[in-house]
Order: sequence, then structure tokens, then C-alpha cells
Amino acid sequence: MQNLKVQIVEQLNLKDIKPEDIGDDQPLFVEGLGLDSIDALELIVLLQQHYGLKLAKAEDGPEVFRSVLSMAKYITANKAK
Amino acid sequence: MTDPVFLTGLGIISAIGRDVNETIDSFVNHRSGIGPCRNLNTIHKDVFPLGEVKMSNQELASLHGLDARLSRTILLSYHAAIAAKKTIPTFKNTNWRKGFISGSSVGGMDRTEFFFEDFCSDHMTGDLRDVMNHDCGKPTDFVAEKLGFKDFITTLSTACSSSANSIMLGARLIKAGKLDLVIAGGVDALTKFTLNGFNSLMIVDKEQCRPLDESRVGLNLGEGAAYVVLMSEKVMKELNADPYCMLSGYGNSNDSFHQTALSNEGNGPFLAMEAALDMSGLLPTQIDYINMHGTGTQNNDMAEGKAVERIFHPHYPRLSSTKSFTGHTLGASGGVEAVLSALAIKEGYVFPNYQYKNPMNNLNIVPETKFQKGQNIINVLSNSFGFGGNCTALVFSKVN
Amino acid sequence: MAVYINGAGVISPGFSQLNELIPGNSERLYCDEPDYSSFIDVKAIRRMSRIIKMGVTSSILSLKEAGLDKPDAIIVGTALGCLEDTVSFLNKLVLNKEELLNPTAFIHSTHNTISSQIALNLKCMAYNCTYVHRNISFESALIDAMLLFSESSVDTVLVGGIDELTDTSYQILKRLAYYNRSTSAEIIPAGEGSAFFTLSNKIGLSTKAELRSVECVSFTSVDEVRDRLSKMLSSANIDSLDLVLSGRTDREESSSKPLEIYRDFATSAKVAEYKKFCGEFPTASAFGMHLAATILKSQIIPAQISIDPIAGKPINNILVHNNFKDVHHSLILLSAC
Repeated sequence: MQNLKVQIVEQLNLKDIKPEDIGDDQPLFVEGLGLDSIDALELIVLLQQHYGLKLAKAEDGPEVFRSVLSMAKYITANKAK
Repeated sequence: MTDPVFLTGLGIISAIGRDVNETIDSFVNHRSGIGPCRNLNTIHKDVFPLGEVKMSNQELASLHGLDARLSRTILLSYHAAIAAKKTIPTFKNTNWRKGFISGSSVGGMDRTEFFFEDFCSDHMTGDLRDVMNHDCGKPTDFVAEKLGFKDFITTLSTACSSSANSIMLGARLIKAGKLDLVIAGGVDALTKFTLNGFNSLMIVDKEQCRPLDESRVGLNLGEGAAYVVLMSEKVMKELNADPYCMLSGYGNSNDSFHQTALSNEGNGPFLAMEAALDMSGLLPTQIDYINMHGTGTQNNDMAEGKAVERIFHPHYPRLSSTKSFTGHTLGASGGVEAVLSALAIKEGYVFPNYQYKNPMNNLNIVPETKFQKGQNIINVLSNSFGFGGNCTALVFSKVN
Repeated sequence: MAVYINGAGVISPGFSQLNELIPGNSERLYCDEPDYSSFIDVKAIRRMSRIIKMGVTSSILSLKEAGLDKPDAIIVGTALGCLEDTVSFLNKLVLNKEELLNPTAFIHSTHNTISSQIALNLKCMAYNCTYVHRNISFESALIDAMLLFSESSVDTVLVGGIDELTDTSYQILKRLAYYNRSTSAEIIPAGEGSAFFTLSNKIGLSTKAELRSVECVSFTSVDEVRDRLSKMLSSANIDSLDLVLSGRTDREESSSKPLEIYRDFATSAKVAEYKKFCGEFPTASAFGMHLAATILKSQIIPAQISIDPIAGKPINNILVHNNFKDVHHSLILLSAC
């Protein structure tokens, strides 16, 4: 998950945030990191680029990207397929 | 209402026709121009239906004696602009100041993409002819010079409201006495840049789009060009020109909420429509038809629907999104829809959605589903809302 | 109705942050950029490319100087728009063969991103427009602004001219022979910059100058341009110019052409060139206007301009002239107030 946090910081250009400062279960959107819909799309690109996973529906986004933990779980679950 | 500006001529090319007649014929026969991709060389060829103009660059160029290597944007723009110009009765008055104002979102990007295929890996390669017309102003200059409309030339780029803003500017310059005749509108050609750009936002439909329908998932991209001829009453009388309608009101506002999404309450659209109605001196109940921006994205249609509800509830005029026929022509869309609005008034047309089944939740927005003619259409509202929150509304009215 | 320049925000080569005029001394000039994080919130800044940061910051500086929170309209002129993001998206389009593309680069590539981001930053829902017509993009924005004032629909307008030069665009423009290079020692360098102005119909303590009129003359002869200038000055009741800031760039052609335009109103001794400070780029006339306004306010002609003022004579009227390859000429007239 540390790797994932580094990738998130890089993909979203979160200049003022250190990867280690992002809590595993911290909400990424609205409150927490305060990310928005464009960031969600960038995270979809991140999943594809680094993990070869394609999120078919944007509507699945909120659940998958709720936190770093939920993202990691999604990656683990789908990479096995 | 201050001195009205008259709309006396039209020129249009889009996926549903090369001119006004073909365009109307598509509506009469309920024939959408959105279909499988034939021209654009993209990996998404078989994935996304597009609203392509059914003419190749070669055909457009041959028709007008132009170089086929020119940007498609130039070719489309010229085609529509010269058609508009031809509607102006010949005149001898060389003192009349003539302006050409065009809107575009990506200019000559169709050729720039080719250039980058080589340039990307080696900066000393790439055919310069492909990049020299990149900037949005080049197509405008090319066409203005050919038209001989050189007293005022400019290009606007406010995303999907570009050509609506062009028309608004043209009218304002005429009212201020700065220009006597204006050809105003806009153009955009399909490009991999825009198709992939919108796809990265996941707002492109893999099927025929369904604007204003609850089940909608996105837009279909289109291309085209459309221009209107604007003149003052004085010039119109001297030319004995027969107007389609007058531009009786306009409004421009910024939604100022998010770079790509409109606010839930549709504030920018609301302000633009309200300003246009105020200027026209009309009550909402006097609007007979709204040509909605209606792209088919979840966000636009919901926000626009909300804004329309705020102004018109409970008396909704007939309304529709013609983008379900033409596709979303981006910078050209305001111009395309101005042409359709003018025809609506002149000929009593009401345009439908191409398809529609499910009303949007919690909104009383129900589009027309059948093309009608011979209707009494006195006032039309045309909406154009773009990325960056750029919202413009135009009100067209019948001439007494 | 009189229109006043009440504030300016400039990020440019040619002007240090201490407002000193610096002639360009190389083929390519770079903006003297501030620390943008002291102007823009960190959450917003992360997505902004350089040109957007330049535009947003210039707008903040301009409004601050005018003592204004929010203008009644925002109008931007930019010929080439957001090049960094456009090139970034194009490169990925080619390299990744239309896969794995970043939405941020796309949404920030459109020309109107600058005016939109300014509006977002100010939460300004007023009239908003972007002009993208070559070397009269800034002038088109000014003409629209003056139209708004004449329509009595605004009291203040934020208007700006902005274009960036990236490594990629510089290479392409050089290959396109955009920059004239002559054998003479004095070249006009490649440049870039952002200049934003707060215009108002009210004069105030921060007022620098009055914007009298703006004209664009296209696809025509030098005689026509001179004729238009003559009409412009006659309407403004001006019979001579104290200074002409010329945007002449072409060195190969006869150096007398621009002087032909002004000959009835200013001798060659009163003509100075501004592009040697900011470089050549489509909206360079915005820099020219800033320089003119600064001179009118201070009544001092900077030594770097090499014009000898007549001792004791006030500097009342300055013309800023822009021209690029004789396609579009623009004339911006400013007066002291």
C-alpha cells in the first residue's frame, strides 16, 4: 500500500502531501484529501497504467476509491483473475 | 428591447447535411447523422458512433477549389461561411463595414495530430504544413480573406459555447454601430484529440446518445460548421433582405463551479437564460421552443434541466436536443443550433430528440419526439454551455 | 464613456518584479516568475500548468492594485492557449496509441481554461470570454471590454493578454520561421508573458492611464493603417503623439514601413520598440500597453527605451502598435489622466 500511496501522490500531483501522511482508511474524496471527480478519473488511469485493471463503469469509482485500503483490496481481488 | 439585429442568412454543414435543405430533410425523415466512424483514423473506430460530415476532405476541397491538404476545420468553415455569404443580396455600398467572427475549440488540431505522430519521437520531423494552421485564428483568417469580410475579424474559444458567443459579439458590434454586416458562427472538425479527451472523462456513449433521458450515459461527438448573417434594420431595408428572425436577446455568464461540471442547480445556465430573456423583454411563457444544449451527459442535462425548471416551471415550452441528430459539434454547436432556431421561427419547425424513453428523475423535462412543421413559433431560446463554465443563451424572435 | 486602467498584473520577461525594464539579451526570453504558492491555494495549484498560474496570479495582482475583489467581466486574449497541457496530451496520444490518457491534461488544454480558472478562483459568475485570434487576441479582448463599457453593463472589467512559450512550441515556431532572424546585430528574441488589467469607468488613486481606443486593421495596406490611425486620433482630439511603442519585428524589410504609419503624428525620434523587452509572441501588445500605462502614470520614460523626452513637456498620449507579418495591425491609444 505504501507503493500505491506514492503512485497516488504522483498521479494527482499532490505536492504538499507525503505518501506516508495518507491514512490507509482515510477518505480520499470530499473530506479527507478533498479529491474530486477529475481525480477519480486520474485514479482510473492509474489502475490501468500500473495494475492493468480497467474500471468499466465510472459509477464503481466511489466504492473502489473510497480509501487507499479499498483500492488495494480491489487491486488484489482483480489482479488474481 | 434595444435595436434588434436581424438574421437574414444561414450556412450549415454537419452530420445531417451539407446545407439547409439536406439538414431539414434529415429531420423530416427522422434520420440521425450519428453512426459508425468512417473518416477518423482512431483505435476507437468501432467503439464510438460519431456525427461525421459525410464528405471527405478531398470532396470538400474539390467542391470549392481549395487545397485538400488544408485542415478539415478550414474546409468545413469555408463551406458553411460561403453558403451564408451567398444569401446576401449583391450590393454596391463599399462603405459598409463587414465582419467575420468565428468560434472554435481546437482549430486545426486535425492536422496537428498528424504532425505529432512524427514530431513526438524526433523534433526535426513532421510536415510543417500540418502544424502551420494549428492555431484557432488561422481558419478564421483564411475564410475572412476569401469572403472579403475583413473590417473586423476575430476568433472566440469558449469550448462548446464558442459560436453562440460569436453570434452574440456580432450582434453587439452591429448595435454599437461598429459594423454593418456580420457573418458569425463557428466550426470544429472531429479529431482524435477531442474524442480521446472526452473518452478520458468517461462521458462518451458507445451507442446513439440519449439526451434528456434518465438512462443517458454520455454524448456522441460530431463535427460541422454553421454561420448566420446578421445585419441592422437599416442595412436590411436597403438590401431588401428577407429576415429569418431577429436576435432579440442574449446572455453570457460563468457557472464558476468546476472546470468540467456544471453546478447541481445549474446556476450559470440559469443566469445566462435569465439575462437573455430580460434583454428580449419576454416572459418565459412567451418562449415557444427551447433548443437545449442537451449533450446527453448526466451532468449537463441534469443541471440544464434544473435551470430550465427554475425559469419555466410550471409552463414548459416544447424543447429538445438536436445533438441527438448532429452529435455534439463542440465549437460549432451554438452556430448549428442558431441556424436551427432561425429555421424553427421562419418555417414553424419544432425539432425532436432522435430517441427518448425515460423522463429524468425529479425533473419535468420532456422533449419532443416528432418533427413538426407549420407550427406557430414566435420565440426560441437556444442554449450553449461549455467546459470552464462558459454559459451562453440566445433568444431569437419572429419579425413582425 | 471614459475607461481607465486602474490596476495591472504582469509576469513577463522585460520587467523585473521590482518593475525595472530589462532589455532581452538572448534569443529566447523567460518570464520572471514569482512564487505562485503565495497567490494560489495549494489545492487549486496542483493541477495548474504554468500558463494558468501566470494568468491567475496576474489577475490577482491586477485586481489588488485596483482595490477590487471581483470584476464585472473577465475577458482573456490568448493566441496559442494552454500549450503545455495540449502538447502533453498530444504526446501521450501518440506514444500510448490513444490509451492511458490523463483527463487533467485534456480539460486544461482548452483555450478558455485561463479565463475559467480565474473565474473559479474569484467565484465570479459574470460575463466571461476568451479570444484566440493570432496577434489581435488581446486587442479583441480589449474591444469586447470597451463594448461592455459602452453598453453600460459593467463598471469594471478584468482583461488580459497571455501566451506561453514552451520548449516544444519554441522548436516548432523556430522551424516555422515565426521569429525573423536577420543579419543585423539586433534581433527580437522569442518571448512570452501575461499582462492583466483592471479597467474601470471610474478614475481613482490607482489609475494609471485612460484607455482611449483600440483598432484592428487587417489584410490591408500601410496607407489604410495610417488612415485608420488618423481617424482614431481625430476622434480623440489628438494631433500628435508623445511616444509610439512599436511592435515591429521584421528586420529584413524596409525599416521605414511602420514609421510611415505614424509619420503624421510622431517623428522617428519618438518611436521605441517594446518587443526587445518582452520578446515576440502574439499577445506581446499587452506588455506594450502595460509599459505605456506605466510611463503615463510616472511621466518618466525609462532610460532603456532610448528616447529623449523634451524637458518639461508632459507625456500625454502614447500609441501601442502591434504588427505581425503585415496581416493584422493593431493600434491601442492611451492617454494620461
